[in-house]
Amino acid sequence: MTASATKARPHNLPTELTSFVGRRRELSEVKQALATARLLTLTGAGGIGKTRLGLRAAAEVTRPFPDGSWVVDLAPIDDPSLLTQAVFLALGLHDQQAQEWSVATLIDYLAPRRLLLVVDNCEHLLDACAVLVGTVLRSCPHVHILATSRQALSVAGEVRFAVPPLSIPPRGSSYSAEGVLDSDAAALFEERAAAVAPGFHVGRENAGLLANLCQRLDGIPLAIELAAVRLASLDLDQLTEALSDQLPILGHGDRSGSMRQQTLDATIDWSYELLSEVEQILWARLSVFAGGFDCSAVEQVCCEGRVLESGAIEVIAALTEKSMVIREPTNNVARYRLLETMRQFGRERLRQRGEEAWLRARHSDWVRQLASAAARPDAEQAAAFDKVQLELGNVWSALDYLLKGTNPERGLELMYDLALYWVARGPLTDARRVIVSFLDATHGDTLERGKGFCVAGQLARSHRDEPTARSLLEESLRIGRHLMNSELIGWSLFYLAAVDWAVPDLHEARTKADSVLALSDSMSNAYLRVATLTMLASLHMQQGERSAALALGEEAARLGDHLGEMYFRSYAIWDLANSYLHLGDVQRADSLGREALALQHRLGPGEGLAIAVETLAWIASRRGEAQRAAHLLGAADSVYKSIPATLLAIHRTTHEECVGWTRGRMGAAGFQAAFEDGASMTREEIVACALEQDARETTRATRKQTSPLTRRELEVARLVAMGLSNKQIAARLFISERTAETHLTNMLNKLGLSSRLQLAQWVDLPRT
Amino acid sequence: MQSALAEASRRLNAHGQPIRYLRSTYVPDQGRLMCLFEAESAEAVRVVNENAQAPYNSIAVVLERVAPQG
Repeated sequence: MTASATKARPHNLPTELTSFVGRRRELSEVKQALATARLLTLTGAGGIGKTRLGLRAAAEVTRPFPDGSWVVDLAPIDDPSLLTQAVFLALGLHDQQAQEWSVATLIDYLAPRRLLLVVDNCEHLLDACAVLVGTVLRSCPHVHILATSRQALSVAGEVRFAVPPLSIPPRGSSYSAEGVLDSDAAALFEERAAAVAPGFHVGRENAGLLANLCQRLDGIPLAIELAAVRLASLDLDQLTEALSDQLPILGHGDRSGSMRQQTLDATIDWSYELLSEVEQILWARLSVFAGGFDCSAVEQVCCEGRVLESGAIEVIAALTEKSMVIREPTNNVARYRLLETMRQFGRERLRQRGEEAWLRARHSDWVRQLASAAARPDAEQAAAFDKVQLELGNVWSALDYLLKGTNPERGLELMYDLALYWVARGPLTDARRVIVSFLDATHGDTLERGKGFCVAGQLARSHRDEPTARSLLEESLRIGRHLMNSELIGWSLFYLAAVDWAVPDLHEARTKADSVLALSDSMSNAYLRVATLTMLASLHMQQGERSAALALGEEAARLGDHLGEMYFRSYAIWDLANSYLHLGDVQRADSLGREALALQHRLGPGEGLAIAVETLAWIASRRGEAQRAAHLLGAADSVYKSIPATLLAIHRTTHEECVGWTRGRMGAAGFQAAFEDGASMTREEIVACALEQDARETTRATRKQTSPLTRRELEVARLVAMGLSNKQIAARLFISERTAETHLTNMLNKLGLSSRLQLAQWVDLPRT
Repeated sequence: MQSALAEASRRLNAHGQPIRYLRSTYVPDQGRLMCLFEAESAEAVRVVNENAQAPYNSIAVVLERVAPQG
């Protein structure tokens, strides 16, 4: 690894967990095409290695794309309307574009950039993909797209590259080890086999067997991998014999696409049949997850009957070893997923077992639990938000299931629980669309529908769609009164007050807020009380009742702190900062403003963050720090734009004063430059700037490592985790291959592991 | 967005579902956009909008009458 002084190129390409074997010709062709073609589509059957090839080429062709290479995996998505959202998430824009995730915003973002977008697994969303790709190509002249799909997209200007199977040894009567290993298929087999059976070597005795095997498997990489990992328990003879029974007799000449698909299906089937019964049951059940899963999810959703919770982790490890489950490189809790080709197979098996309906119900129950954790107003809420964001694929999948099932009311509750999550982290447009679908699918004046109208109103308000928000919230209020449900009444009134405030009709807002406060007291609902006190503090401040505003703000902050709640508390603290600013106590305002910002940052890039940054800008100007003020004004502006929302009318005056003063100090040009600087910062940079911290401190703390391995061994282990073979490791570290092997064996012994894959997994595990 | 709707309609047509994107009318004062399609079903219109990533509030059947000349 070479050290570089230049800023690292941004990307989200995943680290390869296994080595990339062969494909020299294909790789060079694809790389050449990438630099020139605006749209390159890699086509081919499932398991042929389109994704691997595409990602590898993307990792190596960097010069034309200074703004990075970004991959979007479409496999977990079923609904074409979620396509844009997925691209936003992949580009890492969820930090900056809070809620307005439309095609127009995407185009605005991409237009000036020179980057490569890798769109993986398009086939099930072909039309939506094609339209989006076409739009991007037309409007963003420097963006190149690499798509992988079973079929081409049929977009004007598309260059298609059909990915062939790996080269196999030519049919003949005798085979030599070197001759056989010349073919990519055999080389891949050897690599993967050596990882699970360290003594495996291709020599004169088994060259012929291996050649036959590769021919039989048609050079399909996935089939070869599935077979190779079996060498942990079978030897080459047994393996070949078992496969021969399974696969049709070899014909002559090239096999057609559909025959290759048959070979792949047969290999997956065979690999599945080799699993123990418990492994089979669990593996099929894993197909219910969209976008991956972790062990605790498996324990909650899939463990029943033959599959016990206590054994789940071992079974998953076993499935990973057999390449039936893929481990994703993560920094903390291990995540896994099924390859899409295999997931289809798993679903089929699930259906045959008659477990699909029951499992999807369980899956949606698990998602509902995640949502209710996100709704609890306590100190864990931000962490719960993080969890929901990680499992967003599963959330959409569960919502889809509930919408089409017999219990759409549950979907309304789920959306209600996630209300604050949507407000803080978006995507607002998709969330609004979904809640409307649920309201359309249900009827009557039920509590669930009341909640549905309430969250729909909240989301509309965040989108600054006040008229819609008002009518939705009035409906939820009506239902609340009809059912005499104080909580629903309370929150409906609260958000109606918020709508009034935005108009701004301060008098009306205050009237409503006062009655909500009384209601919250009668219910002893501390959470609602915190929220209302916060709003009242702001209202009092706006109407000039300064000391009352302070008292209310202090009480709200105290109560929020007692609950551990973050969202309204951060607003309460912001309230106080704002009040102190207007009272002239700049010092206090500054420290409170920073506190509010830190809390909001934890929650998400919504309106709370925007106003916190804006306030710190005002404070900076009061302290005479013109540069800082200009930066923060620009930053706040960009956060607002990303929602999209604007500064509330009541803040306009202070904003104009701040801009005026700062511009006066710096001159128009100086101000403009600093403003634009601030506007182009990422969210991490904005927070670091606002809190005046070294940006690196705000990233995760390094893990403390107490390791049983020597430093040299750790170096080798890390290279193993990156997917390098012993030969490559030896070359990298300038040691002999024999030494590398010795290190490896020592490590496996020390750690009680038995394969490279396990070692790679160990390297990724966090140490406590 | 117009080109996206046109493209999405063209593709659906190619699949054998007859649908044509006719035009869009924008009312700036109300912030409303109405897109007119000629199709056999509301479902086809929905699919086209989804594929074009064009969020919509509702789909309704409309009748049009052109004013007689003269």
